[in-house]
Amino acid sequence: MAADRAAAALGIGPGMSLADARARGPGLRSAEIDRAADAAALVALGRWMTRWSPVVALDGRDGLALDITGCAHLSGGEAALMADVSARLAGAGIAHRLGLAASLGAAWALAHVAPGRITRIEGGAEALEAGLAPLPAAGLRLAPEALRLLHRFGLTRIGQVARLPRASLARRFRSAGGETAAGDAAALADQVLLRLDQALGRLVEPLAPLGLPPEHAERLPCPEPLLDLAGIEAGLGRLLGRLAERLAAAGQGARRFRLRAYRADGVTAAVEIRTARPVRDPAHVARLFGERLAAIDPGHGIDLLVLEAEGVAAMETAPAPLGRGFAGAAPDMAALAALADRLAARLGPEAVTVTWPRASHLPEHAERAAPFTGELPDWSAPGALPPPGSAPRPLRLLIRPEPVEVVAELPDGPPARFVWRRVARRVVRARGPERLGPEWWRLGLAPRDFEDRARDCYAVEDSEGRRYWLCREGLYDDGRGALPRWRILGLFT
Amino acid sequence: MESHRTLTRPLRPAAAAVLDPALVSALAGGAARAARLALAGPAVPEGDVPALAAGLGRSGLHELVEARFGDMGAVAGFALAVLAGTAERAAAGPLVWIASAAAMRAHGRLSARGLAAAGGDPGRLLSVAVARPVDGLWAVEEALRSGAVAAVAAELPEAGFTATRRLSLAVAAAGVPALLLLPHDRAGASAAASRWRVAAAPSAPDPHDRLAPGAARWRVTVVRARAAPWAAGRSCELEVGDATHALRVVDRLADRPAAARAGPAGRGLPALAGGSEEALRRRA
Repeated sequence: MAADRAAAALGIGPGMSLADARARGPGLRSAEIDRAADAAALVALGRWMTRWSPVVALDGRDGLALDITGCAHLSGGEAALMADVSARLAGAGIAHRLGLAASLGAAWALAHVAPGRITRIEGGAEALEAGLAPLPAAGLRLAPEALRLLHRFGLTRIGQVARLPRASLARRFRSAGGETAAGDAAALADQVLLRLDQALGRLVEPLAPLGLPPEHAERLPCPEPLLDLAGIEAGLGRLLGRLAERLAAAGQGARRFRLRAYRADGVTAAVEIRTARPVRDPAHVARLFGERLAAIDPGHGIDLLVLEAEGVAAMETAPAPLGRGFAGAAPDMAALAALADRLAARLGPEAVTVTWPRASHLPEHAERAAPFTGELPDWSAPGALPPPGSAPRPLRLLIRPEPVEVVAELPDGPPARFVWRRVARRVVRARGPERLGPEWWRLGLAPRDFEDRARDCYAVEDSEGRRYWLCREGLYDDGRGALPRWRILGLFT
Repeated sequence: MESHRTLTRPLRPAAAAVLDPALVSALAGGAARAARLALAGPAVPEGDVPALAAGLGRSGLHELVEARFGDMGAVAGFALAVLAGTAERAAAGPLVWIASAAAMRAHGRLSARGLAAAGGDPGRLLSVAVARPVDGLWAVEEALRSGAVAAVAAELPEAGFTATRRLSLAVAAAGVPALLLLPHDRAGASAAASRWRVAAAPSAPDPHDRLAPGAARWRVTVVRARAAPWAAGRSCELEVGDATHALRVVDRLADRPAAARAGPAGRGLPALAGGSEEALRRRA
């Protein structure tokens, strides 16, 4: 059970039964705990907290851990950072406790069991030991069983546990293990020692952040909250200029840009664009963001914009061509990549594709469409295309081959008429059959129905001159299951 | 029209550099008459519909409409045939092929091997899939303005007058041809330089295999052409040469219906074709 402030004033709190609570407050309103919604809200809050540090991790069901290494100076020091966090959380109406220390364990203890709402331990290992000593042992993040044993030994403060010789702690746990197995007792003792070492900064404790920190980031705090699109665009322009300078100094460009907008009420919005090749031209990137910025809802005001760049790589800088008349036969790849970026920014990352050759004799497997990444495929290599004079291939391949009803004069002869999409068509001419065997490397595997059977393909023309590519999949005597079936795979010109 | 706000943008210097200065000033000044003259393309001698068809891939914005439902395969083939004649430009940039999701579902996607067979280079193909028609029009305009492409073809369900007008201006500024491939129910006004109806036509038998279809043929009809008002309503039958991929005329007598033609020996099928085919098939 969780209770809000008004209920807590009546003495209602966690661990109480609903009937007891009702007895104390007749007008009590209650709702089932929605853990999924709570978790989602915590993640959203965590994303918002990335305004102070890119490394934010979830801690249990109700906590967040921030690694502020190298970030405190942005807010004017650790104390100012905590004051800022607290003020903004309070502004968003979120009750909170903050702890700040050189180790995650110590910060956790401060946030959970320290007497004040906002506490901090300054300094290294000695300061940690001194600062943690008076705190209850519950601040060590222990299992209830271990905590119960510590209390039985009279060890209620972290300092008492820390002063005990390590071997003696394990021995005491084992000797008290009347009701717990010896192995369990040893594991509990190990856990206590581990948590103690982590809290005192003797062991490094990694965080599992919500998102990877970006390779480059630029921040733009807004003293006056941004309320409209024009403000966001202006802010983006400034951030892009600064980022471009940094990237230019390193001779680099980035393939992903993400603009995060932090609102005062604890909501974040992020817009991401991707490019085909590493870029850094502010005008180009700003244009890609273009219409997407409208997706950011400024709400009651955005007070921080952060632009992150990822996929950073060395950027080829070629001198601009003198003019199209002198450009020669080579495509202008930079302009093409810029075009692909603009198209993909509006239509989706998979919308702009080029077709790469693939080694297979089955037409539907012989090519692979992949998003354009600044490189045009080379089909001139030997083997990419069938030699001239080989059997024709349809201009268009259906996304999914469709079944057709076929009447043939002979069971394994060419089709005489067929029905496709409910229209009957009379075949006037047919070229074929061209037999295509299954891919031999799949022969030993379990057959995939018709996919792994030989097929006879015909290029047929109907009475109106339209041309189709029909295949009879499976042979009558191949001993691989059902009778052959006809499908249409493509259309000719 | 949020997506069309680029209309008022001034011409890009890179694009303007290759244009006649008088035309640029006329375009930038909004002189519609000069723009129309520029879109008309090179003059074609009166009565020469095939030459008009062969000029489709050179410049300007043109509409290719399927004659009846199911002719879209022929329309795409004809579009590639007229674009294949401009190989020297293809070296300088890719062909951008824009297709709406509905068109892809109905007629499939371009296959690299089929494209190569039609005289194109699959390595110079940039495919763009769009969900909405308005995105498709926008993509055509972006591609034209990029200055990096050799030609643009778009399979779209519709294109209004305003949209084609915008695209006409973009085509004129870019000096790159654009073809709109539209379904059979296309009607209404258009600012394109010409509109054609394209139908598949029965082919002659393959010279090496009498039962097999020969080179693809199309019956193309001019619905309207700004540069050649005489051509409206005329049609001709075209096919591609096997080796050269160049368009050639099947029938010089343009305005007669296909059924009235008596094909020269060895090319058209005699009346008994069906019977002899059956006999051949039985023998095989």
